[in-house]
Amino acid sequence: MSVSIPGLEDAGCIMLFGYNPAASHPIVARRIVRAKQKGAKIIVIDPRYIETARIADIYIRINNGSNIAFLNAFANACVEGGYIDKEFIEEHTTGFDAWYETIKKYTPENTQKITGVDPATLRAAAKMYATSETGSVLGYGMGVCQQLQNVETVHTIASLACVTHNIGRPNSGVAPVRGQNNVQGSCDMGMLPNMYPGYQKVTDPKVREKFAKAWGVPVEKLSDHIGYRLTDVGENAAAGKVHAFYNFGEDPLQTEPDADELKKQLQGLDLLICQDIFMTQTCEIADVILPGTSWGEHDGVFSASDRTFQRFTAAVPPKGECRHDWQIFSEISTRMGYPMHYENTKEIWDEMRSLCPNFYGATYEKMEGLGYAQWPITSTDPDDHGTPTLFLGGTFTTPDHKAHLMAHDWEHPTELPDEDYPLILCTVREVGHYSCRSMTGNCKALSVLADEPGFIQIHPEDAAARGIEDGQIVRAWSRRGETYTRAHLNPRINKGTVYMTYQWWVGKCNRLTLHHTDNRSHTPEDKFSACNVEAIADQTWAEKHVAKEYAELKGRLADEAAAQEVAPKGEPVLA
Amino acid sequence: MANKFIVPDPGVCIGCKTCMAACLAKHDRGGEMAIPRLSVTYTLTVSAPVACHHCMDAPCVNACPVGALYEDPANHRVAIRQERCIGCRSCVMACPFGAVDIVTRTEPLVAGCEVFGTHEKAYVIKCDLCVDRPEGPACVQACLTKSLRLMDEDELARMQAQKRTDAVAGAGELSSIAGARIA
Ligand code: SF4
Ligand code: SF4
Ligand code: SF4
Repeated sequence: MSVSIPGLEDAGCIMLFGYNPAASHPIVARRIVRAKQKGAKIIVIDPRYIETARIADIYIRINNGSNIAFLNAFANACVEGGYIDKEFIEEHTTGFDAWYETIKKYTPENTQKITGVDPATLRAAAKMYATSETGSVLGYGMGVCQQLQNVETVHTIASLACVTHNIGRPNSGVAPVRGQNNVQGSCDMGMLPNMYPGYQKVTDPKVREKFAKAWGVPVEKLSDHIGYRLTDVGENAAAGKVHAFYNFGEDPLQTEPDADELKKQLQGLDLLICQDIFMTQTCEIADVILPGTSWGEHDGVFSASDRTFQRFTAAVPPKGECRHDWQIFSEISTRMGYPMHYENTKEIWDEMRSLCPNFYGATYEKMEGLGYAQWPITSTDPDDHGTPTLFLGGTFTTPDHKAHLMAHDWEHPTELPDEDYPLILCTVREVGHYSCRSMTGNCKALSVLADEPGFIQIHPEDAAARGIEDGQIVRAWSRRGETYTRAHLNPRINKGTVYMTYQWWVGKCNRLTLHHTDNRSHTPEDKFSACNVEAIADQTWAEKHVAKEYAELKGRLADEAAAQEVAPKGEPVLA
Repeated sequence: MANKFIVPDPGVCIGCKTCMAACLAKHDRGGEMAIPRLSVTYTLTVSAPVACHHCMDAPCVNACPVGALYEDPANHRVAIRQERCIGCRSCVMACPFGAVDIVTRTEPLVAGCEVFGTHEKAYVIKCDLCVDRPEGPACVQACLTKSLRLMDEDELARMQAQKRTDAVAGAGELSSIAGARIA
């Protein structure tokens, strides 16, 4: 994000768009509560009346899948109301006229049918966001990124921040949050098919040369083309283009859409390696499992969504055969003919810093204890903790240092509801459990608070029409598959849409979701597919059925994991 | 001295249930049940936990036929004698806040040093104010938005005094003496 998370507290206005911090990042939600206590205006735009909506000055219930139509009308209202900063646009942006050609087609009135938003409320929100004296922050989450027009929406949000000059000055900017802990770190460290660490392109010969030299390999050994994305692995495996998949710290059979189909595709691989700390459903079908260590057992650095590096240290030593991820990678690399050896994580970090100018100043010393370093950070001066706000003064990282305004036309989501599948299915987070639940599912307290078969949130009127009562087990199905889960009648959500969390193993929403990715970010459209839900008359049977499914699944995983109880034969695995 | 109780500020509560996890963890030990004593409850517009009010004339105490719930003035609370509970759930019906629950678990039936089999032992699940916790209530300490506080007599008196001040502030407008408008 262009701003820092602690800085949210000093914003004049915070507008949340497709982001529910109370469920995804309670710590950020707390900052927003504090901002409100300090006098900030809060705008919440979401199909659901989320926790933060309760303290919002303006809450707007937007129809699912209408983001671009809404934001275009919002930008239009900013221009029409005279809230744009012409001087900033003139000096620090390009492409305003072309941008406005698109924007002017979308008025609060002519988009109302798509967005469901009352024009007067939209205008009031536009005024509040665009005219805050102290500056506005626009926070967005997966409600933007997991849509068909995700990249387009990001362009639109950035342009909106530019034309209203809510970027390039303190206490304002854009705040995209990451879905999981250290997703930012994965990107920072080049866990992307198109980037080396520090966002240096694999297609840039100078970059390749630099890394080849540092690693002591001929430059031809480093790939010069963009690789496959995780979300394309299944299809590529089925098409015979991917033969081996080394999966670590992920449980795609739980977290990726259309999980039943993905399972078939991954089962067709020649080699599937999983590196994990628990026996997950993906580990279950793996050929090789490499036991890694958990966050409590290793040292490292996390990057927060706001570009802040924070160091953490091991609390307990690894157990049994488990090795740190970096040790496993070094061992494998050595056996594959490239000797790799590090004594500790600091050595790796220092090598990385020396190759990434934007991270160079993030020394371990600065991050000692509760210390931190926020990139870009080029100086190793112990008092320099980096850059809380990006683009100050309106200087951007484009070749001409200007922001390039972009606007797009709205398109409807891929799979619209119809007679057979009348409900929209949208995946969300719940408080308590985290990600694929392999970690939090093993936590006693969290399992007491919420357990299998999970929940499907449904509006009381949609439930009444189907004879569904709160807490009952229901059947939900789509064109892809079916699942059994518990109904949670929630008056805070909109009618016509049901919400499920991808963490539940028995009530697995990813048996239902559509696998459709955009062609730029390759992110699945998890926020929109069509499904149906029905009541089950025999609840005693239903309860028994889900209990049995859960017990069987746990039993299967436990049996798989039992293989490790056998003492390894031959030489110890690690030298 | 009057009883104390836990009160939420629903304005800043974000419905995260951290208080419930903390309460559960505090009670996750021998002889107790690992179950939260407060429940975060959501309506269309409010999110806030509900816990026992430690009523001064407690319906649950009055309803309990065996004295498993009792007034404990020394600790400013309504307390529990687990060994007496017979699981009749009179307290559950009597409590106007839905703040008390009865849960059973299978335990050995012991007489002296002999085990005669098993029986279902009932437990009262209700806030105990964490009186045996040196740092005070676990939920209050865990709440990340500082939504929760332990209300005692002094705090209540302060709240009342503030409300009276607020109420009288507007009353200046009602003055019968012309020109005596009080700012
Ligand atoms: S359990 Fe209910 S009735 Fe008893 S003291 Fe607590 S709030 Fe009052
Ligand atoms: S005071 Fe203690 S027992 Fe009561 S709700 Fe809070 S944590 Fe639970
Ligand atoms: S911990 Fe605090 S904010 Fe979270 S649910 Fe409990 S009272 Fe509300």
